[in-house]
Amino acid sequence: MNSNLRNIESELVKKLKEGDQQAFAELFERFSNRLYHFALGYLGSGPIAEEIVQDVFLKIWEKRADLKPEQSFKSYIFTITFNSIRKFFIRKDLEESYKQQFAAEFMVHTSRDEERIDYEWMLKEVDRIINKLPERRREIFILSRKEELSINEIAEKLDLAPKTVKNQLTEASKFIKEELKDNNNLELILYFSLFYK
Amino acid sequence: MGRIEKKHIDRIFNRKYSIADHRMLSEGFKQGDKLEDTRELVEQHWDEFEEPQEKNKETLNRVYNQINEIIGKEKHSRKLSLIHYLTKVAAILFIPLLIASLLLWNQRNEKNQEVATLNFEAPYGIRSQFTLPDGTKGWLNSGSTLKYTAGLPSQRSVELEGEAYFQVKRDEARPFYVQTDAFDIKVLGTKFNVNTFDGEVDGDLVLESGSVQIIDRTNKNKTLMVKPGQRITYEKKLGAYYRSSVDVDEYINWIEGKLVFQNEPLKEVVKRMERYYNVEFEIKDEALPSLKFRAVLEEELLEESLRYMSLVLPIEYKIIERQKNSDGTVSRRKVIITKN
Repeated sequence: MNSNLRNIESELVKKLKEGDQQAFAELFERFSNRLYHFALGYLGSGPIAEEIVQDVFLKIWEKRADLKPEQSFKSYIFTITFNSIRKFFIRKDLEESYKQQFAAEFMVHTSRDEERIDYEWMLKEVDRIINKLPERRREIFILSRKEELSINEIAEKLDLAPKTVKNQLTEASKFIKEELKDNNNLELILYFSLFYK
Repeated sequence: MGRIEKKHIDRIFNRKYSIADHRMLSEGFKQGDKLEDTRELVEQHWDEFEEPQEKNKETLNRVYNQINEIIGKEKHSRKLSLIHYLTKVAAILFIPLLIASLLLWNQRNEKNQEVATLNFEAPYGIRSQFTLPDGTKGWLNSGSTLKYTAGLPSQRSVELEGEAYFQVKRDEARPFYVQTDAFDIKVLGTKFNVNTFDGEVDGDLVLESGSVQIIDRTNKNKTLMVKPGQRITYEKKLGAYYRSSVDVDEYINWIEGKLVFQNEPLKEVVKRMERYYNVEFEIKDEALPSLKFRAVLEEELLEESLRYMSLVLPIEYKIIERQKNSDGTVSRRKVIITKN
């Protein structure tokens, strides 16, 4: 990095350490765009990237007393950014885990498939298929997969016989398999994924 | 599973990645022996990363303002209590709480089920307290309505327009749903405030205790868990949600009759005062609506509040008393604000 730039930055950090809000604004101006696009790349969502920018800069402000003006601010901000991106990625992964299980059950047949099937396409495809289920069946299916409730728990919650719940789940699986069998898109996507590998 | 490599990250970045790529990174991010490798790769990426020059000015400005608002709160809390003290002038406008009026009890049969709708309404100038048949209690702010559908065995559900504070009776078997124009909320048992009045944001939820889940209105699969002390705001135009940590009291002390303004533009301030005092405002100058106002007004008469505003802002006001119209109706009191 240009040593002049480095000097200005270390000046700003020194001021921020003393609680100068103007310096904080200046550092936000210098780093927020970079941070926003970096987070956007990892999480693929504008609102989450915004949350990360907020998260990181709030932490910088809270911990301003610990700042070390002689060290690179760019690496300091990276440490906070990395932890924030990690946290949001793990949360996103958790929220999508039932869709991943859905894919493992209905869409992935060989270990090669995992490398071929486009992840974001998979998310959309799972939503599309689940949304095609009749309402009651969809509700039961989601309780079973997303909320991970047992057949008896679902039966109790919805005031149904366990046998009814079981039948509905079987019907749902049958429907999904049928839906995916007729789907030519899958092959297209496989081809596309091979292409970029 | 192998080691995470730059190509996995690149593919994720370019939004063309496989299930295996995604798994590789999520494993790499978890606490464990792979974390150090991931950190190194991501740090190298950060150092080499060339950000697009396209600046999201508006977005980043908004984020900056939110940060400032949160930071500002620590700094202003002392000042607030001073204003609080100064404005504790004698006059009291404390309308005895109305137990919500039962406006409509409309029954119809639906598949042997008795479904009934209860309507609660808090007119302008009045805050009211409600109790629902399931034991849930709450407060409805001036100018708000709440519809309750009774008789559904598997769930409890209300529709809200405006602002309300809820203390939901716990019943795990029957979740409590609040439907609003902005988003839906799923609740097991907890205390929280929701505000959907027109303002700077379209939906505003603050959770006092327990936990709630926000459900997006256009995509029911999109949900958001909220923790105590958190505030979620929603911007309809962008379909975006924002999360921040707040001092919950400042958002719920309207139930005690306090009018709290946290550095809000005058145009939003007068909207809330219109509902609170049942008056109409007119701002005569173009520059005035964006002036920021910060205060806690505690059960003051309209005149007291206006006098205080005119002390801290460069404004003057005039109150026009109620007038009888030619058709026999009586107009609301009107306040005209001009530049000082």
